[in-house]
Amino acid sequence: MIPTSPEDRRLHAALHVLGLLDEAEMAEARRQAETDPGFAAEIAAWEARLAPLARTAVPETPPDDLWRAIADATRPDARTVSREPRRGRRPRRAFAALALAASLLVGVLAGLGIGVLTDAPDQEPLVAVLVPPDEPGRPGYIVRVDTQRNVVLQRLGDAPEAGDGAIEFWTLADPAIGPNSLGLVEASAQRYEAVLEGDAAPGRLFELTLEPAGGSSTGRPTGPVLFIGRAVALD
Amino acid sequence: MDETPDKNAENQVLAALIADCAGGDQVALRSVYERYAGLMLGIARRLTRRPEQARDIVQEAFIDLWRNAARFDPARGNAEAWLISLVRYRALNQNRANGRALRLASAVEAEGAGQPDAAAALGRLGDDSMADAIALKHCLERLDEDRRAMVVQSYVSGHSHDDLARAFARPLGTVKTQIRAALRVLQECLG
Repeated sequence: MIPTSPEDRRLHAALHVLGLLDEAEMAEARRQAETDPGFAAEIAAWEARLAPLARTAVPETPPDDLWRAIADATRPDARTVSREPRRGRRPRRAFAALALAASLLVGVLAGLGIGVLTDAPDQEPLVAVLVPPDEPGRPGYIVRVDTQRNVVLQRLGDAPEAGDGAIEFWTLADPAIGPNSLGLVEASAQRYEAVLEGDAAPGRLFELTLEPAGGSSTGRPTGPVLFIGRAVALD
Repeated sequence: MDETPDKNAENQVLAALIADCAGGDQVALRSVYERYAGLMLGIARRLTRRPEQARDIVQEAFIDLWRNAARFDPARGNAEAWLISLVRYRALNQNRANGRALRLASAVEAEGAGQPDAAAALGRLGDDSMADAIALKHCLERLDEDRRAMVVQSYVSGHSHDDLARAFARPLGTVKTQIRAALRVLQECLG
């Protein structure tokens, strides 16, 4: 039986996370969490508190056939559980892969080479995580570029402070030529779309700067860089 | 600026990937796999001690992730912890199906199966510079050695109360009381 007092509920949640409830109690705890957000939150809190201990497991190289088995079972036409879509059914492929690159980028952004620019004939999907120059561990935006050179800027964190100014989105293909503006982005916008001129390659720089109202009057960034990052390929 | 790295940035990225899985994006699932499959295998193997079962558990966990991604709410939980929970609960269930308590029938076996894992886990926890790991290590150090070992062995090795009672040669009721006392200390310390 799930305890009623707050302290005992917290302890019960902890015992569940440790794996110390018996089979029937564990099943009951899971059922309770389905309908009791408070109890679910207690479980989630203990899962988060103890997660560092899980990270102490020594990672193992997955067997070659593991992904293939997962991929076969998760093909979109193999999905057996229907549910309400949480968001619009827009194409999300590039954003997901973008997040893959984001995961690779976090913490290693500085290590990703400028010298990886290539002259690949086709536009390859790219992603970039934009971070504040002085806080590389705090991603603010993700940029994705699809095979048609469509660029989507997606905000991850809090809306930046623009005051009376404007936030302008830039990309830099060639330092000798200078950045190109991809337009002004509302500070409150979760998403902004643009189109690249010409192909982009891994290493492509994207940044957001704070410019005067109406945007830079020079065609080049004039204000402080708010967020910056380099693109990486998805594969 | 706080110099201690934390998991927030990585969790945001992982949460975005899970959201994409909810939208039916298999590339997102592959991204999670590339990032976490190795760790999840390690977790499952440490809990079950059976490589073949660990592989199957991770496979099922990823299928579970795919099917239930829409149920993850980043406002209510930590993405990495949620992902870990998918593999841990499956491994714990598998242990029950294996009759793990019977397998660890002797105190010597129970002790032998858990202590190296617990000691290694605490050592590796000390090497983790993430803020959540530092906080957990600090709070675990507030426990006496046995209670700390009980908590860690149950979490990382999947030891039951019975396993712990055998390993520590204590009555079952005493072990339950000590675990609960340890959890109260951790709750207070970790907030």
